[in-house]
This record gives sequence, structure tokens and C-alpha cells, in this order.
Amino acid sequence: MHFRSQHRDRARRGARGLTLVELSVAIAVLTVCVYMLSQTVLATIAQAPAKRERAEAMEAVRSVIERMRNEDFADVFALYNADPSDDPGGPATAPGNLFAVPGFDLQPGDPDGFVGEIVLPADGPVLREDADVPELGLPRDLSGDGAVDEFDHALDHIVLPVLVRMEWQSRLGPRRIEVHTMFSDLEEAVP
Amino acid sequence: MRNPRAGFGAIELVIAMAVSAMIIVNVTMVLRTGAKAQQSGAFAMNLENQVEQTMERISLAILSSDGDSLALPTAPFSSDTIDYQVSLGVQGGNVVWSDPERIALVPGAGQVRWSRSPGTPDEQTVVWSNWLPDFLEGENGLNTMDDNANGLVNESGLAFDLDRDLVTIRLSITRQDEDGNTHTRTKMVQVTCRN
Amino acid sequence: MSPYSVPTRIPRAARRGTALVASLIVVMVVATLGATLIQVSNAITRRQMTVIDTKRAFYVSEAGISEAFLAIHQGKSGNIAAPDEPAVFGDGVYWVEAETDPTGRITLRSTGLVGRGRFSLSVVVERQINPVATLGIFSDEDLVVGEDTIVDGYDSSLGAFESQLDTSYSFDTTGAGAVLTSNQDVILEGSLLPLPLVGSPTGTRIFGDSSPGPRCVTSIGSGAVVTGATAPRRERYQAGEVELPPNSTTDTIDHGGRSPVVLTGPDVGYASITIQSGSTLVLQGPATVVVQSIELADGAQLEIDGSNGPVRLFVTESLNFASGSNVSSVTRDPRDFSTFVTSANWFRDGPQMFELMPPGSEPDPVSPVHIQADGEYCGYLYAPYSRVVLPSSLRFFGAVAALELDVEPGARISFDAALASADINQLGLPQLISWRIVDLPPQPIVKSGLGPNTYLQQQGVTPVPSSDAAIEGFVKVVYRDLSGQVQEYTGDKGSMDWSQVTQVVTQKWSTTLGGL
Repeated sequence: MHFRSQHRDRARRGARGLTLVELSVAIAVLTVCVYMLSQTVLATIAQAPAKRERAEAMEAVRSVIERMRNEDFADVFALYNADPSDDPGGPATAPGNLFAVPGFDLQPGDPDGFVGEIVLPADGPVLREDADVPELGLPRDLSGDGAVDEFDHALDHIVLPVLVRMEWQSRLGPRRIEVHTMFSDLEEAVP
Repeated sequence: MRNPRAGFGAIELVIAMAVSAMIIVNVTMVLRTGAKAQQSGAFAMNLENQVEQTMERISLAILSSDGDSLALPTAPFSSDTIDYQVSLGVQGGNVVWSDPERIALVPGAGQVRWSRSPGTPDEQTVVWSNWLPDFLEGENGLNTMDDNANGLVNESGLAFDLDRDLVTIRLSITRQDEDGNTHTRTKMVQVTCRN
Repeated sequence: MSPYSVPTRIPRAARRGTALVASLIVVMVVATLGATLIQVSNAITRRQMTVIDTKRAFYVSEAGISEAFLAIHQGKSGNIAAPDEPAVFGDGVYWVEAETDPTGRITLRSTGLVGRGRFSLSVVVERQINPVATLGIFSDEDLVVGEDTIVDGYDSSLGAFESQLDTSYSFDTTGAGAVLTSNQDVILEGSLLPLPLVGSPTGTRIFGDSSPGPRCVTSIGSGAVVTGATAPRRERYQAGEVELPPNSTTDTIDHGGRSPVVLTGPDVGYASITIQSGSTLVLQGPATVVVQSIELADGAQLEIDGSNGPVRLFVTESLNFASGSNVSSVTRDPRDFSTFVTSANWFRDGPQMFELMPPGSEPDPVSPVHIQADGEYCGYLYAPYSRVVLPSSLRFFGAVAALELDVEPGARISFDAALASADINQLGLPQLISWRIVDLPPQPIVKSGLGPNTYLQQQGVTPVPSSDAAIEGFVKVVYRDLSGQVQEYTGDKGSMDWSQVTQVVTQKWSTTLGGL
């Protein structure tokens, strides 16, 4: 007689303990889940500015390319290379090869203080076909004579490969965007 | 002897309910906050997309137009309307141009409207965007100053200006979300006419 | 009361794990929410990247147009790479399809791919035909042709003039192809002799077209015949400026010796060249010669040797070939010799025609161009600011453009149609007719959702570098090597040692060796 009630008591006590354990485990699991979900939500929200930055960076780069295109082809190299001595309007009057974009932070250790850079096949004021610039597809013929030589083609090139890039520090780390294109001396036919 | 189950049962229940309630409330709060943030982010993203898409449509239209035929002012002045024609190709040795097209801000309605053959019986119109303010973000239009320091004076919510073949397009869209908060997005794009 | 009389309910033991099951369900719901959130975020990112990649693809396709432009300038077709083996440019790929219409215009369709972005452009260009040379015998003022002058035309790219004669005539003529053009009237002076027969060598014969300026006329004197059209042009032609090569030398040549003086390129400059009687000046191409003044005395000789390349002569002050001097050409190909007279110090009585004189200087009433030589002039003469008289003593093959052009009675002129497409004064750049955005082509690489590099890797294809992607793989090139010697190579472009080239004189490209 005594044994049965003791057994039941023990069973009841065991059931009681299990419920609390279950609850504790359940609380722990839920806490972890909620934490993970909140982190996911926060990460998603944090990405939004980065996505917007990327779009704005692309637009800034496109703007630079379109402004370059608006210039006479013969002047583009002199206007946008790093050397101010060949600037068509006088020394240091041209936009040059670096550009700033408001709202974008420099990456740590940035050498030139600008987030944007225009890469041309330039060696100072000299345009070299034989320069080793793989990102521009060089060495290659730029003057249309079929040869790749060591002469300066700043005045007689008819195509100009261009790379415009932006590197900035976003909240999610360093970011970069690059656009490659090639200009040509393709003028509108006079009717 | 007292039933050992009765007291523990109630405490258990109360504790369980309390803890469950706490968990549920916390989870709900987190979910609501997240949902709200997500909603807000989504609203902003939608606005961003709308600006982006409208700008892209305008840009592609202007790319194919003839820069010499655009009658646009030069900064600091601007126009909220652009009339243009796009090249459809060459036939019989001559360039074939499209019917005249127009992209314009309809003030008051706050719409960007694209029209083909504007002002004619065959006019076709499509609304490319709504919620444009009368003036660009930061511009109050009540003075002759460049209030938003963008190089233009009294520019509309949609503004075009021209520099040789380079067209600068500026656009603002303003919307209010469910909570009554106003969101504004402004974008500037520059394109060079290719014809 | 019995301890065993507790009402039976669901045993607690049987309810073990309920909380865990419930929390598992909640975990699954939360996980699903999280996964959905991530999916949505990724989709937004992907769409944004596609938008960015599409803009980048636009610029890659423009790069394709530029590459095709370069190819067309080199005489290639404009086809660059192919959809199944595109050209690599930056971090994208592209190809260009070219189609030439019967008018010679070329439609280029360039498709660029970067990541998930795709863009397609269509551009119509035309090869730049030398606009002035197409005008044939051109005068900005009245074009006056003396009586008994014969003007016809031929095409030096088809062979020598003598190989294109129309034997139905009793004299040497092709019987067609003349082009007389003026911005004012064309005046064909009449003969005082009785009306000649058509086949007769007497009387002015224009075997081709005469095109006066807008609202002007072709005045046909007695005995003169024009076999082609005489309608006026719709527009005036505005002569272009000459792009003068740089030259700052003060060296002079005054040659009276028996052995010829040979001038060869690539760039030669003199303040003055004077060839005395009995002496010879040889201009040997490829060469660009810039002089302030050049004079051939009576009995002097000028020989143009374009065997190895064309000769371009720039005269900045005066060109004087005295009566009794002689001009000849080794190749007799007008495409091998061009003369540009840039001096503009001439004005005539009456309204001042042109004034470009240093301040304080006196006007020089003498035309800077004085040609009274005999022999054969085979070339292109461009003197947009000068009066030119073509003498009857000089057999003229080629084209001429002058401010005012007079043709002496009895002159013999043959216009060379090949000059219209020759690269004279580097006027060979293609020009844009139309630019537009077109639909993407239905190519597998375009329809594939993969980035082009991934797709090509799966196909086992390595894209071609953009600069090597033109489909023309064979070249015939005449060039100067490192020692200045003129060399020629014909064969596969990949086997050509371009490092030996200091100057390319001419080049011709083809998809087959036989096409050269």
C-alpha cells in the first residue's frame, strides 16, 4: 500500500522536474532564436545604406565618364591624366585623374586622399601604347597604325581605354566599384 | 495529508504562464520592431527604386537623342521639360528619327509624364512617376538663390540643364509612410547625347 | 479516503516534451522568418547588382564600338569576335557584328556583358571618304576651262590610265569619269573654230559631270561639250584647313649639281628648296616634306618616287615650277603624291578675297602657286587659299582644289576616282551617322543567367583580348624598321614582329591570305 503512493509521488516529482527543465531549455532555445532573428533583422537593415552607397558610387562613376565623353576626344587624355603640365587650358586647370564624391569616406591608408580615380595609359603626359597596364588591355595599338611602339601617342591616338574606379570605406568594410570603357575619335558626320 | 500536487500545480502554472508571457511579449516586440524597421527600410528602398527607375528611363531616352537639337538652358537655369527625338536607325541613307517625344514635370500633379507627339491628336502619354514636389529637395523657389547649393536656381522637382552635349537630370520624389513620416529621395544623373 | 481514488487524468509523464515541441515549432517559425528576410534581402541585392552590371555592360558595349571603329579605320570589316567566343574587356566581354550596306555605310551592333548585366547598341558609321578629292577638279570661285581642253576620269586602283581607254575615240581618253566642281560658275570657254565632231580632239570635251555652285550655271561655250550632268550643287563646299606637320628648320637647298638630290622621310623640313637648271630633285616616299618655298628653274626636274610609300609635300609660302621645268612620277599613281599649299597671301584687285597676313607686311599680288612645268603631274593638289593655273604643258592625273582655278586652253586633265577613298592628309576616320539602343540578341550567353566568365568557363572557351579580336587575321603591311629601311610583310598578324616597326606606311587586312 505504501509503495504505490510513494511510486506515484516519485512519478509526480519526476514530472514536476521535467516540466521546469523543459521550460528552461525552451527558454534558452527561444532566446537564442530571437537573438539570431534580431541579428538577421539588424544586418538586413544595416545593409540598406551600403546598397544605397553602391548605387550612388555607380552613379558618381558614370557621371565622371559622361563628363569625359562631353569633352573633345583630342583633349580627354590631357584633361584627365595625372600630369598638370599638359592641361589644355594651362597648367593645373584640368580636372585631373582624381575626384572626390561627397558622402563617401576614404579607406584607411588611402594614398591620394580621393575616393575616385581615372586610370589612363599615361606615363606623365605621355601616352604609351607599350605600357604594361593589363586592366586597360595594354599593351595595344591606340593610334590605328597596327603597331605597338614606344612613341608618345598623346596627339595621334584614335582610341583611348579608360578605367574609372571608386574605393571607399563603408559601414560593412572597404568597397570598390570599377567601370571599364574605351573612347574613340568617332565624330558625327557633317550632313 | 495535504495533496502535494495542488500548490505546485498552481505555482507551476503561474510561473510557466509568466515566463511564457515574457517570452511571447519579447518575441513579439522584437518581431514588431524588426517588422517596422523592415517596413521602413522597404519603404525607403521602394522610394529609392522608384527614383532609380525613373531616372534610368529618362537617361536612356536622352542617350539616343541628338544633343544639337535639345533646347535646354545652361546652369544656373534649368527646365522641367525636355523635347527630343531618338534615332531609330538609317534608311535610304538618311537617319530616321522618332516622332517628337517629351518628358516633363506636371506641377501640381507631381507627375513625370512621357509623351509621344505632344500637343497633337496622336499624343500618347505615360506617367513615369508620381509624388514629385514642385521644387527640388532643399529648394524653396521663393527667392532667386541656389538654396540647395547644387548650381541651379529655383529648379523644379524635375530639372534639366545642358552643357554642350551633357544633360544633367535632377529628380526629387517625396512620400509619406504609414506613420506620417516624410521621406524624400533626390538623385542627379548626367548623360551625354550620343547622336 | 483511499489514496488510490484520485481521478484519472492524462498522466504528466505523457505530457513530457510538450514545451519542447512548442518551442521547436516557434524555432521553425522564427527560422523561416529569418530565412525569408535573408532571401528578400539577397533578392534586392541581386537586383541592384544587376542594375549596376547593366550600366557597366553599357560601357563595355561602347568599348566594342570603339574597337570596331579602330578596325574600320584600318580597313577591316568592323566585325569583332563572336557570340560564342567574345572579346574580353575589363571584367566583361563583348562582340560586334558589322554589316555593310550598298552605300558603303556600316552598321555595327555591339553587345556587352558584365556579371548579370547585358546591353546592346547599334551604330551606323561611314568610312571617311576624302571629301575634297571627291570634288575632282574644284574651284571655290569660278572654274574657267580654256578651249580645246579635255577632261576625263579613271580609277588608278584598277590600273594605269592607258589600260582604261575607250578606243572608240581617236585620241586617248577614257570617255567618262570627269568631275568638275565649283562653288560658283563653271565656264567652258568656246572655240572660234567650226563645230567639231564629238570624236574630234578639238573643242573642249568634259567626259563626265560639271557641277557649279548653288544657283550657278555651267556656261558652255561654242564647241564645248559636256557628256554628263550640268546641274548646280545644292550646297557650297567649305574647304577644310590643312593640318600642317610641325617644322621649325631654317635649312635650305640650292642645288645646281648634276647628281640628283634625294629627299626621303619620314619627316623632312626646309626653309627653301631651289633646283637649278639641269638638276633634279627626287622626293622619295614614304616622306612628309615641309617647305616654305620650293622652286624649279627652267630645265630643272622634280621626280616623285612613291614606290615604297606616299609622298606628302606641304608648302607654306610659294610653289614655283617655272616654264621649262619638268615633273614626273615613278609610279604614275596619284595616290602616291599629295601637295598642300597653305599660303594665303594673295588677293586680287577689287574686293579683297582673302587676307591672312602678318601685321605690317605688304600684300603680295602674286599667287603663291605658279605651275608652268611640263611632264606629268600625278597627284593631288590642295591649295584652298590660292589661285592655281593648270598649264597645257603639264599632263595632269589626279585631283585639284583651289581658291580659284583656271585651266589653260589645250590642257589635258584626268581625274582619279581612287583618290576619293585614299587616306590623304589622314582624313580616314570613320564618322558617326546614327546611334541607338537595340534589343539584346537571342544568344545563349545572353540568355544564360550566369556571368559571362562563368558561362564561358563552362563552355571551355577562353575569350580573346579586345585588341586582337578583329576577325581579320592576315595583314599586308609596309613599314619602316628600326634602321629606317622600308620593309614589307604579308601573312598572319600573329607572326608579324611589330616590335621591329617604327612607322607603318600602309596596311591592308583580310580574313584570308588570298584576300591580300
